[in-house]
Amino acid sequence: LSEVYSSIEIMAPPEKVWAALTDPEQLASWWGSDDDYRTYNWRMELRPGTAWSCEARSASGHESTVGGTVIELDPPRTLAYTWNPSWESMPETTVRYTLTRTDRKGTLVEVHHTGFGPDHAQIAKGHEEGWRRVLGWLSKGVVSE
Amino acid sequence: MVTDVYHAVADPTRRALLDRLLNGEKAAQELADGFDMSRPAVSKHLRVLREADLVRETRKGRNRVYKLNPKPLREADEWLAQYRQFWQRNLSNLKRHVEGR
Repeated sequence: LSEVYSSIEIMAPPEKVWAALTDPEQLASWWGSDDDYRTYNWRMELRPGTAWSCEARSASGHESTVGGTVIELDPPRTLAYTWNPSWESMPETTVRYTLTRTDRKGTLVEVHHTGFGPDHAQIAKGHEEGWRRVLGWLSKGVVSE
Repeated sequence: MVTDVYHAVADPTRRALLDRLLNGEKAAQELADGFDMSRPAVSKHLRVLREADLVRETRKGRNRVYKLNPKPLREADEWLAQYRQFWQRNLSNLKRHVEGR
């Protein structure tokens, strides 16, 4: 199945990044921005199987929510939860953060957002391979205008 | 549309067929050559690709000719591009927050 990957190096130890990713107070202060949307009412408990959620208000006043279930927890290395946004009618996807200490005394933060596809029944290895191929084509410019 | 594209590229035979069309159009016979399956089986895969609008069929004399149509691939990628942007922005915000205190 297809996935979205993003990463960044943060010049702080993993423990500090972990706290920012899991503490509701910190989440509300960094997740979103004034010109885009703000998040509030963050609920997150550091126990697998618990529900998490937050609400968001866009700069134009539009309200939305996103939440799911915490499915993996290994502080300060791995955090994964399911992702059910109110603004999109798609099957549940999964967000997984991986924190790795770098030799520059920083933390490499990687996000894998997986599970994008037509429906759960079709979540299969073939999709992942298929999507890699599609992205390969796109990057080679083969299918660009 | 995006759903059909996902389904279409999920299958290795259909990906191989698309690979063969990357360098230009091909006649049905040429396209089916070298596949370890019957012509009807290949035709079935081609139909899935046609239904996803990834492949267009034209007639040239007595031959059916297949051509790749890249547009649905771009549309599918645009859908995911929104999420890539979202996470990139979000991680930048996280970095600013963590490094700023």
